[in-house]
Formats: sequence, structure tokens, C-alpha cells
Amino acid sequence: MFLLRGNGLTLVPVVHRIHDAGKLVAVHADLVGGIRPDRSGVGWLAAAGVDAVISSHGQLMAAIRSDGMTAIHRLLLVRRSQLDSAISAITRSAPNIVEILPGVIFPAIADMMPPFSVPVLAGGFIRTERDVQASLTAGALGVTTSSTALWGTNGA
Amino acid sequence: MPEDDDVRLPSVLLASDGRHCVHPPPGLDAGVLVRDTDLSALVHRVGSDCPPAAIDIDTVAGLGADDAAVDFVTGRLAIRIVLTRRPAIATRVAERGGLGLVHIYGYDSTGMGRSLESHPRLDHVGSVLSPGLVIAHLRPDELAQLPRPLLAYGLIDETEAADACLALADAIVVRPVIAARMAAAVVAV
Repeated sequence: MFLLRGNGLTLVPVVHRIHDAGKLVAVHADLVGGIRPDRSGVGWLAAAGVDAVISSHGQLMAAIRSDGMTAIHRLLLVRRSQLDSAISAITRSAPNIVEILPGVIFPAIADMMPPFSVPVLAGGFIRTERDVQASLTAGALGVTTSSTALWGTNGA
Repeated sequence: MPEDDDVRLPSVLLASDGRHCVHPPPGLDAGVLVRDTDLSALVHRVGSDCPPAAIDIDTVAGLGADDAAVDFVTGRLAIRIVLTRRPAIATRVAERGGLGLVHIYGYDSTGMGRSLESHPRLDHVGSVLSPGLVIAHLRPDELAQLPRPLLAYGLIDETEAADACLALADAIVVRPVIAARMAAAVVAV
């Protein structure tokens, strides 16, 4: 379960509920309220029992890993001219997983990117099973989506 | 801004770093967008025979992000279409008789909603959807929320995709090579 909003300072009950349901918890350190996406903020999330932390800040990946959590680096696709530097940043940050946004266009731009040595997730505007299948075919290991109808679909 | 002096957004903007002269291909309603450049190169390009129609002001090294910078760009440089991620800059451009276009980041529906919250929603302040390629995947209600004129910018790298995006946006940004192919297709038809 990816948590992209809410209060990062009061996460523990939410984390327990998700764990009780047999799911893992990934929290977006840049988007939840109350915490700063820095070394201390990451430590707070680790203490709350979070399993994985998502961030666009590559420098956080080492801290996330050293706290025993899975590091997910969000790659925000903007322009072709910025792609090389974004991919270099991911190479340097060495995350456990790369999440590419907007994932719905991942199939169209996958050939612009080098193969990653870690699993890739596609997220953003993925709303149909066709979107899911297109992302998987393009090389994503899975997708992230807020479309509840797709939860449980192979890949989502 | 006087109605008879409205700034017209070309349908196609050719992305350029301003260090080389770029001419829009004939047969295409097109202009040049200068981005990822520096102030000296921008000023040089304005004085050349291929001046830009638009700039992405946040990507011009050496140029500030304040009213003085906007006044310089829209006044001395006579560039009337300005892309920016800062709503206050876009508002100032509109007040100066130009067209301000605020970046709206379309990474996911949640993020796009947050991005839209800061749009000033004033006359002559439109939107830049980044990355532009995502426009074909927006629901009609999401598309309707984007203040017009709407420029689709980013990762539009095939003529087919360019045509699809242009059908939904008021304008698109492409590399010169894609614009040349679009123009060739127009001629062929």
C-alpha cells in the first residue's frame, strides 16, 4: 500500500492496520504532512514501522536503505532533454526500486531509457487493465494506481 | 490587456536552447520556444533573424524570477509568451500585456490537482501541461480543469503523438525535427 498523503506524524495506527491486513506500507516522504524529507524524517518513518519510503530525492535512498527499508526513487518524466540527468541521478542513488511517473506514458517512452538494474514500477493515470498490461509489456514489474477496481489485478 | 492586442500562441513551438538559429518550417503555424539557455544567449538570439516567440523563464540561467526580469523579457526583449512554474511571474506577464503560461505537473491525478490549486486563473494566464504527452490520457473532466490556452510540453517525440496532443491542446512543444516532419506531412496532404 502506497501512502501519498496524510499526516506523517501519526502514521503508526495506519501502519498497524495495513500490516494486519497482510500488506506492506510504502510512504512518500515528500508528500505526507508533518515530516521533512531528510535523514531524520526517514528515521521517523522507520520507527513508525514503515516498510518502504518513496522520494524524488536521490540523496535519501542511502538513508532509507541503511534504516532497513526499501528505497523507492520516483523518476518524474518531464522532458526528453532532462531524461539523461534524471537517469544519472538514479544510477547514483542506487534505489531498490524505481517508480516512473506518469506511468501511463511509460510504454511510449520506454525505448528512450536504458534498462534499469532494479525493478521498475509505473504509476500515474493508470486506470484500465489495458494500461496495466501495456506497462508490464513495456518492462515494468508492476504498476501503482489509485483505481481501486484495479487493485488485485495482476501487476497492480 | 487590450482585446485588439491579444497575444496569439502558435500551434507548434519548436524547442531550442537559443544557441543556434532555428527557423520554423514553412506551412506550419509555428514559433520558437527558447529554454535551457543563459541570459547572454537569449539576448543574442533576440537580436538575430530568428528571435524566439516564447521562453521558459525559469530555465534561463542568469535571469531572475522577479518583476524586473519579467519587465525586461516582455519589454526590452519583446517576448510576449512566457512559461513559468511561478504563478506570480505568469500574472505579471499578463499584466504587462503578454501571455503567461503556468506549468501544471501531470505526473498523477493527485499531483495534478495540487499543481492546479496554485494557478491564478486570470485572463491571459494559461497552462503548460508537463509532460505534454500525458494529455491523451486525461479524462475530459481533468482536461476541462486546465486553464486555457493550454500548451502540451514534454516527451512528444513522434508525429503521430504530436497530432494527437494537438487535437486536445491549443499548442504543443516539439523538437525541430518533429516539427519538420509535421510540416512535411501537411505538404503531402
